[in-house]
Amino acid sequence: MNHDDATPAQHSATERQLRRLVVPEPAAYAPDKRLDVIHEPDLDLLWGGQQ
Amino acid sequence: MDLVVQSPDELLAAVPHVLGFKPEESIVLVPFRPGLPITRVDLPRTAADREEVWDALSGPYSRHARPGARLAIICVTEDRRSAELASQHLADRLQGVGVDTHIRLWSDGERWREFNTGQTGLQTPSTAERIAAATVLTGAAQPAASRESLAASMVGDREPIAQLLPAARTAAAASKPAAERDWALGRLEQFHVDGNRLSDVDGARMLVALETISTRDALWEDMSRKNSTSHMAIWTDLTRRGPDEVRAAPASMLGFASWLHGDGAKAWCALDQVPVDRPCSMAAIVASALQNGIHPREWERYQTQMRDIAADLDESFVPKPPGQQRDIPGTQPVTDRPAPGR
Repeated sequence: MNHDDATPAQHSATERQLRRLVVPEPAAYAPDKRLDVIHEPDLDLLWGGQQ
Repeated sequence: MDLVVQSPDELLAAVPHVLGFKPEESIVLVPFRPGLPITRVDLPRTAADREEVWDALSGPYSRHARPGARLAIICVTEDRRSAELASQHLADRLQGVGVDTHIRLWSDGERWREFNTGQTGLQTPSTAERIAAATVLTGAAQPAASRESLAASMVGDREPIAQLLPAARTAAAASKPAAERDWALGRLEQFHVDGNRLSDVDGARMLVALETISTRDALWEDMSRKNSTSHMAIWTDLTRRGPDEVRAAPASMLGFASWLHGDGAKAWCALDQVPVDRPCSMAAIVASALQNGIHPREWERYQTQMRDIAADLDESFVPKPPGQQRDIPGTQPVTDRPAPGR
């Protein structure tokens, strides 16, 4: 990536969303409030092909 | 071979296998169709906590819901009243974003009740054993006994590498960062091929090499959803064996690889292995992705932008600890920077 490129000051919607990625350290998230998210689980394993 | 759950008892027995550990005092959302994730969170017990849980879930479920989305809410707790209130509250809120709740199931480990129908039954050891046997046949890893035991699996004997770190630092100082980066990339490639655990000497060298940001970034750049399992294996091992002074990087890499693999619980456990006195902005990025339910495919889609923006914002949003380097990719000068203390 060319960091010398003159980039506009405005951010796209995606960029604004990605801003949320910069946050406090993990310890700032209370363990009892954390979400354990399993993306793309193997639902066939659970339900077979008959969901 | 599919499990093909056909009863509440079987569903309760299967949940630990899809979650990776046996949930306790938890509420678990299990979708019926692809599109939505499986999510576990501690069971909320007050109205304020229930609202807070929904605040956390609303983003991911609003984003991922498709027409016809439906799921089961499973509460594992001895507190049946809180389970009923929490599952009803959640079902109402999910309805508002287009997700139907077809099952609201409660279990205390011995009995179950389906709140919508009032049907009740017992959890039987024979069903649990049958489900476990079926998952063995699928080749799936057996679940940890609890979330705590999942976290404990990331702590190993850290003394052997601790003893080798001084020599590894001396050797790295006599070498060049580019040479160490090339070695680290080659060693990672070898691990991808043979899966053999790094020796203590190689482990110490790898952990010292990771302190140079361009090297850590080169290894990070290697990650994809295709090789996330291999990355999880090498960084799990080095997180288990890494002393405090060098563990932030492998733990963050493990957190990222776990997220990329779709395993949020393991990712959180990895981030908890980042020593508290060694803030790490890579870990902070992973934590935010986890809590916001960001789908791993976003990594491939926005890989470049995410790093670039994170680099731009990091200096403003994350306080820099005195005497510690920042570790966001893309913020470094073109030339290699040696590890602190070299």
